[in-house]
Amino acid sequence: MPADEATLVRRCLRGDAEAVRQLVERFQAEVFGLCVRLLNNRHDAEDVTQEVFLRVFRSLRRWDSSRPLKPWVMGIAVNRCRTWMAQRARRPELVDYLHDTAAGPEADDAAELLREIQAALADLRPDYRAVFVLFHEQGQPYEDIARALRRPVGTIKTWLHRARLEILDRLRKRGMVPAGTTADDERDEKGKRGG
Amino acid sequence: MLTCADCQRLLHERLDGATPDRAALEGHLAECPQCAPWHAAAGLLEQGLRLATPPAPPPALADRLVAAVLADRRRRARRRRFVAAAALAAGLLLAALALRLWPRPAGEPVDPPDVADVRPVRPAADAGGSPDPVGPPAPSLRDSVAEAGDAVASLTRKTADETMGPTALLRPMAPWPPLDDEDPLTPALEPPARSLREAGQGVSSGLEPVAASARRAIGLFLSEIPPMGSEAGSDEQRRN
Repeated sequence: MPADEATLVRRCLRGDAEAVRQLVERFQAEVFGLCVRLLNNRHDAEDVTQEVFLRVFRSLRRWDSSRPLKPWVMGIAVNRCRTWMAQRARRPELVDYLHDTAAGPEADDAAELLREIQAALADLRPDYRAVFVLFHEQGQPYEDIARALRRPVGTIKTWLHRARLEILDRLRKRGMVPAGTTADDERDEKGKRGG
Repeated sequence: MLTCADCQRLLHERLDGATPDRAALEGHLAECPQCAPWHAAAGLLEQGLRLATPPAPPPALADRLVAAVLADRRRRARRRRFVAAAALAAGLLLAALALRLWPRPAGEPVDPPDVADVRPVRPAADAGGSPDPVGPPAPSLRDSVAEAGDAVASLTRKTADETMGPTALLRPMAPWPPLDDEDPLTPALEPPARSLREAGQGVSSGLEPVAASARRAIGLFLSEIPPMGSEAGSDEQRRN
């Protein structure tokens, strides 16, 4: 795979338009998906995806061909999303509530579950969110996520565990866990209604 | 028997995709009210992740991305060419200016002299000596400075000669009037010799008090110094 990637990158550097298309098509779904999850807005995600690919092709000469290309591309995507979020924090946020909320064919319970998971994900710290999406939605191994985010594998595991616990805690507290599973859960729910 | 910490670890292993020991886990969850809701929530999360579809990119996104990348490449290539051309033009302009403004010693021909004239002919060290492939050695700093000093001196001499030559030619044509002659212009235009003599007298009279004071001071100093013989005699007495 790295040899194939190296060949593709060499063709891109020579100015082969077909190679550019192949590289874009290989990574665009994952880059766009990560951007949507991190930015919570499809329009922003499209803009940032374009920025990501411009950066990727501008700095393609700096890619280390002994390493896989995907973590490098995803690292650029995470960085661009961070920059975008920092810029957006200085202006009013337009959250796109309509994306991927599974409204339609799924049953009400499933749609509600997905909405809760999406909301919990949106409340996570951006680093935790990126790790969660890369691991659970895109199926990337710890090592690749560590390379993309330039953090040790141990840090990535810690962030992922915390992200999971925050989401699970939210699911518990929002009453998504079937009643009767626990005593303390009911206590929490009563306290919430009383408070 | 599993502890709550083991249960927590198994929770993450389960979400990592591993298959934990179901029997042991079920046994602990049946008895532990703390761990059971976490595992129930984990089951929900797994279910939700299975249901969720990753956001699909719009159909025309790839075309837009490719067009943007190729346009960016063309733009950057144009900019690189422009910068290279501008740098070349600036370099040529600077070189032309440097050649134009380079200081040239007076009298040096404008056209560069023939290289064969400039290169010094070095005598061969021995009869069978081969020609020096490197060429003549560069002059030392001392030689360069001496050469520059000679050039400045010769230039000054040449300028002085050019100025003094015509002036010397004028001297026999306009002789000074004799000092003793009775000239009606004498009271108005004093002869320079007289003026110089009076100026000298003024200076000496002005310095007279200073000179007299200096003479007195030196005399006083000399009177204080004992004669050489007495000094030697006192030394002899001290030694004995």
